[in-house]
Amino acid sequence: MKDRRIAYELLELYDWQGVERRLERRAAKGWRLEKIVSPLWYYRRAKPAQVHYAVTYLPNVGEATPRPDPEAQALDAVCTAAGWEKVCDWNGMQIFANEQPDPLPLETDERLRLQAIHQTLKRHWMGPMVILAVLFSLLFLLNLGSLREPGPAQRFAFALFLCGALYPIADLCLYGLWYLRARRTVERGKKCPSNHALTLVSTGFCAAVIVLFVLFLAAVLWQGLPGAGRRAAYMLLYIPAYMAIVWCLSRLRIALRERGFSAAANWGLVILLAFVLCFALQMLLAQFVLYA
Amino acid sequence: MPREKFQTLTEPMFYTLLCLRAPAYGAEIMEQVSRLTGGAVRLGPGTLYHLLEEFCAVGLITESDALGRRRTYRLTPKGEALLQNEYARLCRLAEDYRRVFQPRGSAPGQDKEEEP
Repeated sequence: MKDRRIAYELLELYDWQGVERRLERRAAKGWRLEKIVSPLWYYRRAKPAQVHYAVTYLPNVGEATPRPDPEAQALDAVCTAAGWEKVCDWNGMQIFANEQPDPLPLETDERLRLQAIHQTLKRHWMGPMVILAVLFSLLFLLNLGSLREPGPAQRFAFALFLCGALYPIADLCLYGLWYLRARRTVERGKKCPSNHALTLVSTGFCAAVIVLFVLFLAAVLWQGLPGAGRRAAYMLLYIPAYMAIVWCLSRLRIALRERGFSAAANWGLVILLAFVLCFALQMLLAQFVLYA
Repeated sequence: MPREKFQTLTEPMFYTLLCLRAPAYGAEIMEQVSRLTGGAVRLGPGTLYHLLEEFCAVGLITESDALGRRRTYRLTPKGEALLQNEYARLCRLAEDYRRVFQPRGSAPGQDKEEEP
């Protein structure tokens, strides 16, 4: 029987309730979260139990912040005293678990909860999403000419690029709308409203991208365009290889932060390596698959 | 209408500041708040941490000591002044209440209509 399980969790950084509920469900089935190495979540087998999970946010503790971080340590100390044990952190989100039957909630002030979520997202999520939105929009506009050519493959490619460009824009806009509504609600002294529905929207986008990609590959092969098989093989190899690069760089980032490298040095090295590895991957696949 | 920051204090804010008249660390503050209020005010550890950070940032409290993972805080003169203002405000509210519902000479529970 396997003692470890690795999952790709479709959860958004802002969706604190989604994360808490997902981890509680997994613990009830006998899987406890151990660590997160983006984009993968690692679980270990344990006795099925009702474990309470709660998250809070530290805007100053990012993925590349050197460890141990005094802010995170101070938070851990307060939480440990209340029975909440630190599990791990993810891009500013601090995940805690508590096995007591009716624990004191981690957050008891909705204004402070919302403030911490928003500051963390401004710092660690909005920037990358804006870059993603600009890059995908540019990619879409640059390929607009060829995407307008007739044929099912081109139509699916058009829809795929459009989806890719719309996803970060939609995610940013929906988050912004949720934040404005949540701020008004919290100012009236009410509970911070859930944003789990936004995760469902982004999951829908991901599902649409996967379906469109599969349809696009099928259409490329069906149309019998010159070198169709090689093109399909190129794309099928590129995606897992790209995911492997992301995972390796994530491990490297964790190793560097554990060794006390500054966040700037950590990000500098990781971004440089990302460019080099992606370029090398493209060259290798072009040489040995696309133009073989 | 949004309330201006620290113009009036919420219960968790008030009790947290009150507990920091003498130096205390996170777990001690939670314990003291619970004891002082008989468990009526619940202060989660995440909320307490964010509150302490916020108070430190505006100079209401200061970090007096850090022993390992544990940080100790205490009230600054600015924090003490804010707490005094809040106490005066609450006293004014209580006084107004007394003036309306308990006029001089009447027993608690007797209202204005019962006056001769």
